[in-house]
Amino acid sequence: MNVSPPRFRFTVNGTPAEILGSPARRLSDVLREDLRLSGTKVGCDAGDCGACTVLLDGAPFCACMLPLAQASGRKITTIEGLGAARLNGLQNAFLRHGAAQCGICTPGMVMTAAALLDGKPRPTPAEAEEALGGVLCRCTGYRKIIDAVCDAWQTPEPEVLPDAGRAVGAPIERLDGRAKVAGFDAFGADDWPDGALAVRVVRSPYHHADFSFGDLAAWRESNAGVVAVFTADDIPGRNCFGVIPPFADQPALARAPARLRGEAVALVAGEPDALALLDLSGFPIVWEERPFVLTTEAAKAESAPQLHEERPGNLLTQGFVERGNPEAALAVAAHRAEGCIETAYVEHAYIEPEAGTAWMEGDRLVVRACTQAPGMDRSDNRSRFWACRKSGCGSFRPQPAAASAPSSTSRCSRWWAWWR
Amino acid sequence: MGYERPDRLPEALALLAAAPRTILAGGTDLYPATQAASLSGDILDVTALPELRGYREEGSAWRLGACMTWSEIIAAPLPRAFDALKLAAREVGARQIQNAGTLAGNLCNASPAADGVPALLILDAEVELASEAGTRRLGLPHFIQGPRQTARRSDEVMTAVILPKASCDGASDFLKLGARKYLVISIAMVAVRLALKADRIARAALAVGACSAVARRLPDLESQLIGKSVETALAGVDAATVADALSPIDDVRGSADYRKKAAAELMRRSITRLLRAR
Repeated sequence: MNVSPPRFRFTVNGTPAEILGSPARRLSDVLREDLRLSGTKVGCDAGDCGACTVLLDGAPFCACMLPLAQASGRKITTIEGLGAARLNGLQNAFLRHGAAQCGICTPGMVMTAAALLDGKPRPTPAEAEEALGGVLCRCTGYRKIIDAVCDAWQTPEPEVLPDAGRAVGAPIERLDGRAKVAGFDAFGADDWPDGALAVRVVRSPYHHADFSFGDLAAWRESNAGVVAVFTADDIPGRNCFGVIPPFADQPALARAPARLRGEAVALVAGEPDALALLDLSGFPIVWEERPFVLTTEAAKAESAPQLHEERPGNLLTQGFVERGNPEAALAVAAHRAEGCIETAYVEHAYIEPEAGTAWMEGDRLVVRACTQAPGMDRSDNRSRFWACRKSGCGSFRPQPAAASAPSSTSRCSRWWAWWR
Repeated sequence: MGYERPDRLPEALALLAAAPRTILAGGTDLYPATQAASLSGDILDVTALPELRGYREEGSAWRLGACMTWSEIIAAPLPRAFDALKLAAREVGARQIQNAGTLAGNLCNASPAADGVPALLILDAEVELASEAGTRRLGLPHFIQGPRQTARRSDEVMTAVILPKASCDGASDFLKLGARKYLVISIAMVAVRLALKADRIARAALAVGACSAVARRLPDLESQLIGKSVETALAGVDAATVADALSPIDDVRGSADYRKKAAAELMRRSITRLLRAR
């Protein structure tokens, strides 16, 4: 009988690698965490987004679904390993066409396209579409990506920056584009301090539920490797967040009740290896399901459970977009038809995990995170930080200081905590 | 936790005889089902078993190894009756999934929307199951018993899919309806195989997937098509005759009613496409 080999050997970008560890580990995890090749992105861990695409003996695979054992003896190429002239041509074409926008899908797109171009240097748009169908992009609408892939064989003269005083209106290469197409642009989940603790999240299994904790300290003591447990009680000041300050009403960790299935109610911090194996089924929490509604219509009903005291009728905001003069147009129309038209549901499909790192530098809190509104985040954090300092909660003692949350509530949670 | 990846079939069967294990092939269903960085429990990885790879002609049948990937099926020079299977293979997820996902994985996972099943049903596929007690063959309709339910015993591993050559005549086609072109789970899909003789349909095999707990053949409609000419073939192919054999459900991807209409329309289009291409 075969005994599972304790170590796995393969080559990554031409360099031999040897990994000790569970044969069932996702290769994406091994590449990012053990080999620190964070150019390979993780968006979904389910083969839905393609951001983790690497080449296995030249063919594209989702590294998130490849067990370490199956990588044994194979040649793996990641975005960091692209370097041949033709492949640089592909990356240049991405730059030239503006095919990398936020950039989180770019490594997966480039790797998938590299496999296509290897056998077909000048693909048609239809061939490029079929080849790239497994990688999602939420920014570009795919057009520029397809253009870049079909155009990768060309080697136009590099663009030169316009002279001072002539820049307005002149096209220039995207200033932060090279890092994105080369795969070394660090996103929120790509940077974490050495020795960071891992965090597991306890989430509500119900759409709406009351809950109460049992003896958290005893549970912590009885689980080796668990260092701390955090709940809403550990959050000083205002426990709520949101992208736009007036709309913010979601607690970082819920205080009963939990208002959505998957809402975080506690964080368990500990040694990464121990936490990976930790069984959360015995976590001391008692749930009591409450009535819930799942549609806008039901939430507007008078009998509907009210989610927030400050939001009567469960209404956050409303708007109505009106253009032109429909009555006048109808009055002169040759034909009339009446009907109710519903537009199709479009999956937003964002791929980048909501993630970041934070640490103290003397009296300063440094936050490194992904956001579209750094100014709003900064003022929001500043007021929170000072409120906390004034309230006497000291130097932000044991806080889960860095977090990498999943890109959807149904996905896994790897939160990184840094211990001060 | 034990992870075994034997390279000889008898070793694999001995492991399964000793205790049940989760069988891992391409990983495209097992990994999405967990939130952890690793699979847990006792695993039998069958991807290193040479007996499960490749394909060959074997007397009066074609034998496809259980661990053939969708990409390998697309690349294999198989008869025209396999075109439906190849078209289905091209619509399994996307390239990344096709490079990893396997035939046996698709069948053993037994999703009502498994892309490979209708195309195998029209070829009268049988599956070969091996255990220390011996090898047995089961017709695909007997193997897949319901959503996520198969006739595989815990000591068995699927080794091959067998297609009798008698059912591999004619040409075939496959159509899948999803909300977008790639990375989608079927709302409805059809597979059609037709063999013509003197411009009339001599043999017909039709199957619909994602519209009942298990993909179904449509025997009544098949016999109705026999003897029809290219011009008259579509006459009786409508929502009533197609939907008769189905029991679609309402779910997030579509209503039962929509599925019935879609299945009938896909069937008409697929038959038309095949007859036009003859």
